[in-house]
Formats: sequence, structure tokens, C-alpha cells
Amino acid sequence: MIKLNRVTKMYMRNRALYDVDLELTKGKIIGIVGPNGSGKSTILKIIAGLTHPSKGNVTVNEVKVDRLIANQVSYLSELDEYYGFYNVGQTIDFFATQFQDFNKEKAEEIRKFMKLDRDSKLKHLSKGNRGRLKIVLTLSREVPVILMDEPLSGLDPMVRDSIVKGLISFIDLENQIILITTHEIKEIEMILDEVIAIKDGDIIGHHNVDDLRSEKNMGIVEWMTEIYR
Amino acid sequence: MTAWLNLTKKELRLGLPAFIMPIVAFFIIVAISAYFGNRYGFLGETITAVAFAATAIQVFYLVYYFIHSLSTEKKKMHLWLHNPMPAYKLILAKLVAAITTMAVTFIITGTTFLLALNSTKIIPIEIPWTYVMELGFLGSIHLLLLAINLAVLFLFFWMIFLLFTRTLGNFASFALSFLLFMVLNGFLYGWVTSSALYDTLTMWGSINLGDILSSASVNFNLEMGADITGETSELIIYLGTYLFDAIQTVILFFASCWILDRKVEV
Repeated sequence: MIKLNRVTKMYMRNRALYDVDLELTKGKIIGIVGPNGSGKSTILKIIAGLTHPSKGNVTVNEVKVDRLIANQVSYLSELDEYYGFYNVGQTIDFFATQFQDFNKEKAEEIRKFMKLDRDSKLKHLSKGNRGRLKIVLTLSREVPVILMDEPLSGLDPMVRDSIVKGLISFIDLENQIILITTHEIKEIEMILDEVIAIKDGDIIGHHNVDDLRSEKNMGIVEWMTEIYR
Repeated sequence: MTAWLNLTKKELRLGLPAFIMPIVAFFIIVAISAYFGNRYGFLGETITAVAFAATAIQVFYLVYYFIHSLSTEKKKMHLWLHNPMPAYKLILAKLVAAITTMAVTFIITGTTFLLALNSTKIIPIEIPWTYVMELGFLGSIHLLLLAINLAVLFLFFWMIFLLFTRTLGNFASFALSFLLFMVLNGFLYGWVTSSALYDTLTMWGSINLGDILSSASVNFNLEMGADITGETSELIIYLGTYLFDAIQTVILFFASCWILDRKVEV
């Protein structure tokens, strides 16, 4: 479904990704972990067609990725930016007009689950509610690939919990693949099928989470502690 | 089409501050100048001058609108660019929104100008009103064409600026883009347009627009008020020039779209 073939990304002389090979199939929730600046966000942006590889190529469902891959990929940015003149309902309605695959009924369902008021102005929303809205907008799209860059970052435990529950409830694992970058590993460990560890632009580990538990008797945090040592 | 129309509606909403500000500023300046003009007994003349200046300056309106819209969008590029529409549709939505707001602003300042001009009776009797209206119409079309040309030129250099920001800071990117603009637009464009080849390419398809106002002199004194005298001469335009500028604008537009689609990064 998602294929990165020898992908390198350079920013001037800085190497964000180096010779990354990755093949991911649908029906999984995959966590991408690593320290700040390791290349996690770059991988997601490259798959979303919002950043271009310096070398190598990327395909989603056999289609070479460019910006127009947005019709198959739902991308949630780590940035907390919206069109501030809209309220919650208008933002949902605007997204519904831009993406043919946007399911408005599902959006309403997730919005109610997240306890977001349709009439709340975005500029008056708390950080937690802005995080919840991002989840509404991202998960309401019926696309094969969902990319979430730090969806839990800077949010309090209650919001994190509601987002994780939202993820479990509203994704279609038979048809979708979800990639999540995060530092809050403990919160999402239970929902991850696979974990990918990145360091300095290199993939230094890629494991099935259940295998990690059964074969190595380790959780993700213990595994990370070992490989980043 | 529905998606694009809704995007255009968003662009109109995004550009609302840029739309309102010049209109408010215009009314404030008209009010202030009317106050002072009235004190000296030149109410109509003052408003005419202010409204004319406000109308003429709109040759930069689309550039101004783009600066506001694109710099606001720069803070949320992932929102703007994570969209299945190709870049030309994204930019066209902005351009249509910009032209719409320009049209409204133009109608406001233009109508004010004509009403004020009519109230002053400073148009010499030998210049008929139909002639003034024809001139105004011709001027308006050219103002719009020039405004689009400048906006697309700005758009192209904005894309260059965005390319530079991938690796450089905002200030360095701006400075480099500006330098490139000066070199390409000041030197290269100047060199091309002053060449014999340019004349060969553009000076065809002449259209004689007839006698048209070629100069106007305004005499203004406290005793007599304003007095405008005009001279007319034949005005010939060349279709080749229009085609050359149109091709240049289309090339720059699609080059900008290509850069936005293929090179600009979030």
C-alpha cells in the first residue's frame, strides 16, 4: 500500500532521511517513534506529498506520490493552525466540500463523541479541543491512508484518552492504514500493531508489537530504551 | 466545480480584512479631504482628486490582495496544500476572489470619482461626457489587465520566495527573491522590451482608437477653483503588445503553479 524506495531527504547539508526502504500494508496502526529531529514528521510529509524526497521514490497504492495524493491520504499536521474565521461546524463543512471522500455523518458522530460544540469559534477553542477537532477532520475521510503527526502532543491526559478512544472507534482497519508519530508511547501502545523506530534519518527497528511482547517480552518503551542506548 | 467554488468562498472570507481595509481608509480620507476642501470651497475638486488617486492606485490592488492572502496562507501551508485540487485551481480561486473584491472597490472609488467630477463642472465644454466615459472604460480595462499582469508577476516571485525558504530564513529568502526580481524584471525584461526583436514581435495588429485625450492640464487657484484643459491626439494600440503580455502572464502563471505543485514544501 505504502512503499518508500531508498528515500533520502536532505535539507541543505542536513540529512532528515537516509536511504529509507519501507513497505507498509493496510489494516494496521503503525507508530513511528524517535527523538526530536529524527525524521518522523518528514516521513509523513513525504507520504502526504507535501515534501519531496531528494532521492528515491514513494508510492501509495502504486501511485507515485505528489501533492495530489491528497485524494488518497488524510494528513493531520503537528501544527495547530486553522482558518480562524470559521467555527467548528463551518470547518467541518469546508473540509466536506474539499474532499469527496469526507463522510459528514461520521464527522458529526466523531464531533459529538469528542464533545465539540458546532458553534464554537476556532480562535476561542482550547488547545485540547483544537486537538480533538483535528481528529474529527482527519478520521472523517474515507481514504486508504491516514497520517497523524503528533496527535497527542501537548494535550492533557483526558484529551489524550478521548483521542485514543476515538482512534479505536472511528477507523476502518479493514481498508485503512494509520501511521502515527508520537512521543506519548504509553498512551497508544495498546492500539499499535507495528512500531518503527527512527534515529538520525535511519530506520533502526521495525517490529510487530505483539511479537515484541511475546518473543522479546518487551513493551515498546523497553525496546526503545534498548535500541536507543 | 463545487469544491472549487467553496474554495473561492473561503478565499473571499480569508481576504475579507484586505477587502474592508482600503474601503474604510478611502472613506476616511474622503471625509478628511472633504472637510478641508469644504473649508476652502473646493469640496468637489478635492474629492475628485482623492477618488481619482484611489482608483488609479488599484493597479496594485491584486498584488496587495495576494500579499495578504499568500502571507496568511504561509502560516498554514499544510491546510492550503493538502488538497486534491491542482495548484492552478488553488491559485485561480485566490485570483477570482481578488478580482471580485477589486471590482467592488473599483466601483466604489470610480463612482465617487465620477459623481464628484460631475459636481465640479470642471470638465471643459469641448470634452463631451460620452468621451470621458469611453476613456474611463478603456482605462478601467487596462487597469485590470495591468493589475492581473502585476499580480501574476508577484505570484511567480512569491513561489521563488517559498522555494528559498526551504533552505534559508525568511529575510534571506525575501532579499534573494527581490534581487532576482530586480535582475530579471529590471534588467532582462528591460533589455528584451528595448530590442528590435521585441518591436518586430509586438508591433502588429494596429488599432486606431481615434482621437483620445493624450494630456490634461489642471489649473488650480484659490480664486478661480480648478480648470482642466485637455488635448487630444490619435491613439494607436498594437494587438501584438497585448498578446505578448498575455503570453508572458500565462507562462508565469503556469510556472508558478508548477513550482507550487512540484517544488514548494510544507
